[in-house]
Parts: sequence; C-alpha cells; structure tokens
Amino acid sequence: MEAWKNKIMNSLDGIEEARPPKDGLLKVKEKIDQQKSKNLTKQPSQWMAVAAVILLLFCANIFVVSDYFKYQENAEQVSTSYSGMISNFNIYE
Amino acid sequence: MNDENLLLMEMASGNEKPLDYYYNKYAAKVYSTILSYTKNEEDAEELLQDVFVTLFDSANKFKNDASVSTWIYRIAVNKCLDFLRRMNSQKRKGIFSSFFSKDSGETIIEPIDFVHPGVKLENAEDAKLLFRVLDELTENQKTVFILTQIDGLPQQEVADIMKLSRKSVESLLQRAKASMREKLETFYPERGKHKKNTSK
Repeated sequence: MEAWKNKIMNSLDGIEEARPPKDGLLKVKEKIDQQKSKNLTKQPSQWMAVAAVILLLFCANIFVVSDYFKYQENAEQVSTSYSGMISNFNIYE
Repeated sequence: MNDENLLLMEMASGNEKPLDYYYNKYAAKVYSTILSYTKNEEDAEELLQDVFVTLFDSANKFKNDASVSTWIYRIAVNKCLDFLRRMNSQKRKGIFSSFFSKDSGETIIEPIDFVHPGVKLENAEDAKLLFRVLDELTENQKTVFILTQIDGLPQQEVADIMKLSRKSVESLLQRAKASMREKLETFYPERGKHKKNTSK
C-alpha cells in the first residue's frame, strides 16, 4: 500500500506547463476595451442623474418660495377683512 | 526599482503595451496553476483572462513590497479560490434543488477524471487519483501543494504569495501530503493491496 501511495504521490514528477490558448492576449485586450467603453458610456448617465437632482431641488425651492409669498398675501388679506371683527373682544358688553 | 516594476508603472498610466510582455512571460505558468484548481480548460481560460484584466486595472495599486510575479500569482490564487467557493455553493444549492443545473441541464458535480495536460502520459492514470484527493484538502493546503509540487515554485516565493512565513508553508505542505496519503487509502482501499497481490 505504501509503495502504491508513493507512486501516486510521485505521479507529478516531470510535469510540464500547460499551454494557454493562443488568442488569450487578444481576448484580454478585448475585455479591457469593453470595460473602457462601458466606463465612457456610464459617465453621461451619471451626470444626467446629478443634473436631474439639481433640477428637482431647484423646482422644489421655487415651489416653496412661491407658496410662501402666496401665504403671506392671503394672511394680509384675512387680517384686513377681519380687523373690524377682532378690534373689540368684549362680546358680552 | 527593476524593469518589471517600471513596466507596471507604465501600465498604470493606461498604456496597454506592457501587458504583452507580462502575458508572454507569465500566461503559461499562471494558466497551469489555474488549471490545477479548476480542472476545466474553459474555466481556466476565463480566469486567466480575468487575472490579466485585473493586473491591468489595478496596476496603480501595486506596492513595491513584492515582485510583480508574486503579485500576479496572488491575483491568480485569489481568483481560483473565489471560483472554487462559487462552485461549491452552487453544488450545495444543487443538492437541495436538483442534481442538474437549471440552465444547461448538465450535471454540476465536478468531473473526477481530470488529467493535467502537462502530466507525463505514463503517469496519467496515477495523476487522476492524485487530483481526486487534492480536492479534499483545505484551501491553504491545496494552494501550497499546487504552487510547490505542480508549479515548482520555491517555498519562500509561495510564502510571499500567501503572505505566510516559510515555516508555515513547510508545515502546510507536510500536512497536505499526509492528508492526501490518508485519503488515498480511504478512497481506494483495494488498489494498493491489489497491486501487491499481482506482483507475487
């Protein structure tokens, strides 16, 4: 049994390198080029996302500011129209 | 700084030309290593390409604390171990779902009759058994065995690749060999005895 195990364990003696495929380097370069083109196409979409967020913030701010001024106008109108009613609080006199 | 490191710096700046040099010098060695892990030529080819793409992509991350060859081997070993982990998890899933993969209908159990193309013809049958028991080793033991016994790298270089001490590599190799001998006896209890009987 020991001799057999030794034979198996020594079966890799004189092993040589395996040959890689001939077009391997070409495929590596293709993959690198694919990655580069992917990165290039990714960039505009990233900028589009940033631009969309900025636009959204800008619109939201305009809405808030315009809403604020509308509220101010309404508040002034209400205060003038009810000024007579609320000038005297002694309603039981 | 040696020439290889300078070429790597050139590659880090986006120049693809040094890749030809690295591929021509290391592809055969790395392919041989990868094949010992994957036991499948298609997977080995795919991983070989990944190794060199990673080398190109991360050339700017190279620190001069190791040689370029050590670094290439390190990338290759990590890719191979990731590949084996992925295959093992697929196998585990396969046990619960089916013995066949859903996509191709092929069995996902690894073939056991792998013969490394560099093995001498007269040793092919014995090497099949050796590669069968190689699967039973732990990741570190397997890596040490492949790099020292199949690729013929010196123990110090293997230690550098694995970021271990040379003594650890030595002890891992001893344990790997002992474990493989044990497994041979467990898997093929009749083989050795049979040979003895016929020789009489």
